[in-house]
Amino acid sequence: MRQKRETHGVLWAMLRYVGNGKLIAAMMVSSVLQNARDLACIVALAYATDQVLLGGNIGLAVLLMLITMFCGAPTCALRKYLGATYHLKSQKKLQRGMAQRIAGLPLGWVESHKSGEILSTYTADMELICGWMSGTFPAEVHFVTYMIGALAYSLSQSVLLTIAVFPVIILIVPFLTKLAKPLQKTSDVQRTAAADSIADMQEVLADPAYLKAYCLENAMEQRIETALETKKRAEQKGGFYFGMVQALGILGSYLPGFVAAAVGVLFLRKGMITAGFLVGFVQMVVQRFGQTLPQVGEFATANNKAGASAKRVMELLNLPQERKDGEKNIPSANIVLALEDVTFCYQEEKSPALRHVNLKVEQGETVALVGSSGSGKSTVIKLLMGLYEVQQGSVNVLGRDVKQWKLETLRGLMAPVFQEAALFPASVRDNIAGETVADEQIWAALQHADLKEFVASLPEGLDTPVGERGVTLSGGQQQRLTIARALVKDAPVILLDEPTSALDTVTENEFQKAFEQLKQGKTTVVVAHRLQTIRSADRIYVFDHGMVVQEGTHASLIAQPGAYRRLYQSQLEESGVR
Amino acid sequence: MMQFLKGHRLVFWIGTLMTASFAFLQNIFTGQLYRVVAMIGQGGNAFFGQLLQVFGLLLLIVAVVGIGFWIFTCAAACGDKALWQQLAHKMSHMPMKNWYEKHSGEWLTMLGKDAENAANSYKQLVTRFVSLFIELAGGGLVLSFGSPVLLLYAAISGIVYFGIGVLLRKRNKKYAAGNQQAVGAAASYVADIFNGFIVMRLYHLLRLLMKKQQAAIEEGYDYGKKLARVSVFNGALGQIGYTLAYSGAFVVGLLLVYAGKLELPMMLALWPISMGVSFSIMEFGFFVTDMQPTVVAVERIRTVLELPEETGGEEKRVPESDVVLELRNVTFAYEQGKNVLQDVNLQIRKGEKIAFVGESGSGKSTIVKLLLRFYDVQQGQVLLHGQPVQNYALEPLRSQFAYVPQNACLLSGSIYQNIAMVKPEAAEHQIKTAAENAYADEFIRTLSQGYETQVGERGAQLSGGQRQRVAIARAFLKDAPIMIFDEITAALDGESEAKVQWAVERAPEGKTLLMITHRLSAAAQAERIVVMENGKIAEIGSHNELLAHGTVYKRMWDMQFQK
Repeated sequence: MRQKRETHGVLWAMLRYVGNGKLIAAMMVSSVLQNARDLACIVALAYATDQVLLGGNIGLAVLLMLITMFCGAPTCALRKYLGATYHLKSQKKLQRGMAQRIAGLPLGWVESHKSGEILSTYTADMELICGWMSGTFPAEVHFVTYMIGALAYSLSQSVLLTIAVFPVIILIVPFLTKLAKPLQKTSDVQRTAAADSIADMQEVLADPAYLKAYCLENAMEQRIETALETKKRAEQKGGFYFGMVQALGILGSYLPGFVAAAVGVLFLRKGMITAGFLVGFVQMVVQRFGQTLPQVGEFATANNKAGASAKRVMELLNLPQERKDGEKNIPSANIVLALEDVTFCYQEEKSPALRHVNLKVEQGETVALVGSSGSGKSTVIKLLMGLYEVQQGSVNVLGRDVKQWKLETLRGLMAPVFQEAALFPASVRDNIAGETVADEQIWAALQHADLKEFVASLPEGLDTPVGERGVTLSGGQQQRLTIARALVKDAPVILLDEPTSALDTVTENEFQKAFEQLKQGKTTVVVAHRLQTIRSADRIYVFDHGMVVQEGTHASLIAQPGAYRRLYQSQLEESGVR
Repeated sequence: MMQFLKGHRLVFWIGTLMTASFAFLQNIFTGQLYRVVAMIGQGGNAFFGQLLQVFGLLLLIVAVVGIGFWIFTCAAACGDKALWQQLAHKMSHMPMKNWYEKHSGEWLTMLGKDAENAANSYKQLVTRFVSLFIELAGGGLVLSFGSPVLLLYAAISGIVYFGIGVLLRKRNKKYAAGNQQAVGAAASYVADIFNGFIVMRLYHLLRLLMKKQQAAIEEGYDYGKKLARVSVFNGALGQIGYTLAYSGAFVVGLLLVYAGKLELPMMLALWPISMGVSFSIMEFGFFVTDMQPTVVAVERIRTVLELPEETGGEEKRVPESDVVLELRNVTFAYEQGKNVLQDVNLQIRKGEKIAFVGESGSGKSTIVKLLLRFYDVQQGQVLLHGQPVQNYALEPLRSQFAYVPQNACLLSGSIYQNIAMVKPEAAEHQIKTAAENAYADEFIRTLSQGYETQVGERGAQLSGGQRQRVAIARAFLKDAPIMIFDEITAALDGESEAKVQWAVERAPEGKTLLMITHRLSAAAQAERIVVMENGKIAEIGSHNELLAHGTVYKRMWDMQFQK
């Protein structure tokens, strides 16, 4: 019971979210119109039958019938049109809302969840709920209004008949459906058993070469024969049960009509109703109740499914978001970046990724962060970009705590270059720059990244698509493209996370050259792995298990025994002669 | 397709007729119901008897359909078994040449969807056809006696309805595709936005992709609107067609009654039947198009069933000789014009341990396929103990070999069953010994259920290395005089590779061992190494001899071990 209320609650919330009240009202009206037309058909039919029996004016009767007949097309069209429009509008609203919510997610949430869930909610759940809102839900309302109309019509002709017949009719089908349920289940079980046999066959015959090599063909055929025998028996048994289900189904479809006729005939003989009405009434029962009422059972399942989807969609629409407030003006300061006594955990009970870290980067400096993997270096980069908030201490950019910056403005000051190129299926131009950037700027950046010739040689130049449906770039080219992107952005702070895997020397050199271009006049923080990078940095911070254990220039650090010297030596050995 | 119902034909047809008659019978029932009502309305008597008759008709229909369905299913199930059995037989006995013509996935589909669709030919198609036929013919017959005018009207409205249906189907397809694409594009942008988090937010990309995403949503909306317009029009048109057949027949009937040509009760009895005629005409029209997928599937299955089966020679006895295997001037190509082996000559003596190395495509694995007679050579001969392999019957020939492939397939069942299946009559201790020698026993003991552990579908519950060791255990159990190891460690990591390699070294004495590998360190231990290059034997010799030669083998060795 509680689940039912929950389902209704979330479906109602969904309807309210999508809104479009006027459209829904129009849909209701068109639904009533169609029901009215359908009932009018029955009334006209009953009237015409009576006229013929009584030898009355058939002309009018036929006219009425024809009118009601051809009103069917416009009422049906109107209802369908409104339904389709509502479907499209709700689709649009949900897509927009969900996309925006996803775009505003904080990194913490993204890194702890898989894209698959979100995507399936965005596609499958949305389709399901839209289908429900524009299909099942109106159908339910349509059905209820029809029943009310039918009831009214029937009552207007004979209250007694209505009381005698309606309850019986309405109870027959659910009763039979209930009877059929366990039978249906049994037949379904048999069917899955049958499907398993096919899967078994597929497994056995997957590698016939192997079977032949061991002369197992006949043995496997025996095995298959046994599986097939099981399948056959299962199907036959299932057929028995399903035959009964079908029999019950037929009863459910036609018994109501028969009951209506049998009872009605009694009333007919007493002259309490006309023959025409009874013909119409029986026809109504056979057509509507016999065939539509079973669907009511499916309404409940459909509602549950929709409720589950709606729940997921609502959850998505309420996911946490990054904050949008903060200071927009850009102060000037000599110390561009600083971490003051920062302690940070990604998740509450886990061990801290950074412990009491103190770090500063001055204008124009190149600072290198080194240490074994997992020691916290990449975390520092993420904090500088405002992707996470620290629990203790403060992360300052240009003297102001990151928590007080408007994130958009803060990030405008930074250009990250990571080992994952993160290019998208879009044109070269789109991957490098926004729409407002002039072509000359883009070509200049490509020149510096040593890609100008390559891009110029592409079939559509800057507009050539990159990625799956476009041109494939080598690893080195991808990386240089990301440098071009950073060049165009022209941000004062560069954040680089060097690739750890050994690239071939040629690619690495090309990358280095392009990167040197980028670095000119900027403040740079590098998570460094290359010895040259480390050696040439203005200052080096050595990380170990989330703490800064050493700080200084290469010369000063190599002179002391300690973590740096060890790290440096092992790096030397690993890369051989570099 | 009907051939699979052999022996059950009578039952099948009875069942079909019973289930297929439903459509027609239901029309009769409703007609009779209205008729009784009308008769009483006109002042008839003995209504109780009439009603009872109608009720009896209902019960009859229920029984006929219920029982008919059951009978029909029983026969159909027998047909299914026959179909699948024959299919499986063909698939396990066809020459490998034919197997490799299709992708393995296609064969699986053949057993699954294709066979099911083909089975529909007798499961659904026949029933539907008979049902429509009975509705049409039966209805037509009844109407021709009851009211030919009504019959005429029913036929005309049926054809009109069909015509409308044809028109409708064409229009729908156009916009559906565009809408799907746009919706899919919108979703993929969302995926990109989610996955490329940092880069998105630190560059213009988030804004850009959001814009594109919105544009895709709008595009989907526009297509959707166009699609809606079409489907609404279609719906209206369809409604007209339906109404003409349904209410239109009533109007015509009423006019006939008014004109005195027909009695009202009779007209009411005929009304549902005339509807049935109209609808069945409409459906018949689409029958041919609707049966297309089934027809296609039947064709596919038929081609498989007509494939030849492997045949071997007459000789059942395999003699003994010193030269166990020989390739004499063997030239072979899978496809005409592309020789995979060129004039290969090789003799393998009993008890030799010989390795085949070379780059992929050099012909190593092909030799194995020829030895096992999966293919026949175009030129030259492949000889087993001095006789061409064509001479031997397949079973005695292949029993000479114990083959371990790169990816052994295990079948769902226990480890014990998987090993034992190559020699069902083997005793338990034999199986355990084989497992021990294969270094499989050592990991089997660590499993909670030991030898009874279920390996899962295709052996998924075991790791690659464990599966290979089970495969080696099988080979040991088979105890064939010639053992072939074909790239058995190619798909394994270092540790598993070592274990599997040790297992190979435990092969019993006196067996002739053929090892195909590209790991030169494994090959180095063989007595003789055959170096293949471009389908020819480039060099043969022991490891040291070949290194001394200083050509092909040395080159390969240096490349692999330079780092």
